[in-house]
Amino acid sequence: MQIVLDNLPRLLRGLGVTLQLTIGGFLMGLLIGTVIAVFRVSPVKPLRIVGAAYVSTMVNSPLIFLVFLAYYGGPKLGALLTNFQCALVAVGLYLGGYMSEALRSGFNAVSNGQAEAARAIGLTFGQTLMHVILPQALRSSIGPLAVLLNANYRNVAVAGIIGVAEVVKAGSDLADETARQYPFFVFSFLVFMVLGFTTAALAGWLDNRVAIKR
Amino acid sequence: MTSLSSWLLDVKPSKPGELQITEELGPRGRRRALIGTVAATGLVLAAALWIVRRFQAKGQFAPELWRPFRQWAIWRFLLLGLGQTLKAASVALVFALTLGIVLAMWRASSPKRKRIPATMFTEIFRACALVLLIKFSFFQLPKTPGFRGWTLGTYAFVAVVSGLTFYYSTVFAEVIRSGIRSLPKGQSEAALAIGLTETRAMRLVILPQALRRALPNIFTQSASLLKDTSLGVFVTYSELLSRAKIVGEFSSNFLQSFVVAGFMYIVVVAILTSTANRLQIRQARSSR
Repeated sequence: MQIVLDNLPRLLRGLGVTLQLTIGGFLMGLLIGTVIAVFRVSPVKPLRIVGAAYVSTMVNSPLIFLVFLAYYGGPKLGALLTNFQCALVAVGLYLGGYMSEALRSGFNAVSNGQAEAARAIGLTFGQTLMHVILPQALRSSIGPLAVLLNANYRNVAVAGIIGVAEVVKAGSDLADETARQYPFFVFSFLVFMVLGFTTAALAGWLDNRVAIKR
Repeated sequence: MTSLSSWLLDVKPSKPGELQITEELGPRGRRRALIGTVAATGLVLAAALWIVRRFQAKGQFAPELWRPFRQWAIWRFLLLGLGQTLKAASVALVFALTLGIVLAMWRASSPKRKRIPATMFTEIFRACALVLLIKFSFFQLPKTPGFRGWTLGTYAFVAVVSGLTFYYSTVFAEVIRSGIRSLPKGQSEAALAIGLTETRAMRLVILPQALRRALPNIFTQSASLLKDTSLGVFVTYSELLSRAKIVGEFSSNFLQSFVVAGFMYIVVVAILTSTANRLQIRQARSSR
């Protein structure tokens, strides 16, 4: 216990990095995911194919592979990023694939009558999407998106492999230095517990507030 | 021309039951969508071209960077890595699924001595980062009596498998539990009414149906289990990704070796995810 308190600043810095990676990656993923999900429901076939190809690439490759690709492969193409940026880009691209799937299931939760009514009053594809479908789809995707966010706190731990000191890496570095494993193991475990419960509670509250009662 | 444009502008959703946003387009809509198609195709081609040019400009198509992949020895090295990946994944899958079924059954049963431990186990290991579990078992195993004196490779393998087992057993338990809960209550009531004990009702009536309902999700989660074997990199487990890294270090062609390895991952994992999708569509169809 004492040993954790002594090293608290470093662990909290690690927690900060975890949060930055998670939330940054989440926002980036949300942006990419929305665009890809719109691609996948659009009437233009090439866009659908691109969307499907993007999703199947990201969903079928390991996150740590993308981290390695950005870290070792990026410089070869002239993209000189810091380690943190490499991890952020990898997490964002990866989550984008998963989020477009979550959003697509949100799209499908919107009843066909909504789209039909929108067409009947003469809205174009873009208008139907922006004013009718997306607002409803986003709201009903809160649950799945929260699950993704929750998994992401723990997934970003793979950034440790390229030396980004997020909370797991900070903990295991300290464990190596002090030759004590259990305290730091328990600490990271508790951190994830707290983060998980907070996210779930927030998502539940948000879901309750904005959900469409059907 | 019309068949091409009707292929390009397909307004029907790709799966049954999906939202259809646009109807058959009128002349103006077709014109707009065709412009959109041309623009989109142009953009995609431009992006692809940009990447290719980038490769060219940085000399990443240079034959000596790709030459290693004309040697069988390199392919053998990578394919053996893929074998290690599949080995860890399949062993972990068997353990995790078995444990997951037991946990789900215990959690759904009424005696407290089963329900409480199963709930605790699930909640605790579900909240762990997989990296943490794998690293922890890698460093603790050699200190544990009864597990001493193995080779490094064995420790790495056991660490990966046990980390995956603990984490994914809780994932499978949750997936199966939601399958159990999705069954109508009449099923268990009828099973109890004809005189089956609670355990037998679970084993003979509830579980088979729940597993069937959970099957698409089980496949999806097996795909992520397979992907997560790559976390073996953290503990020097010699699987596909770490071997690709070695090839990249050896011939200083990281980009090329990761492209090859990524392709292997995508092919293997896509088998599982596409099975999951197929099962999901079939179940959606049969339940309507």
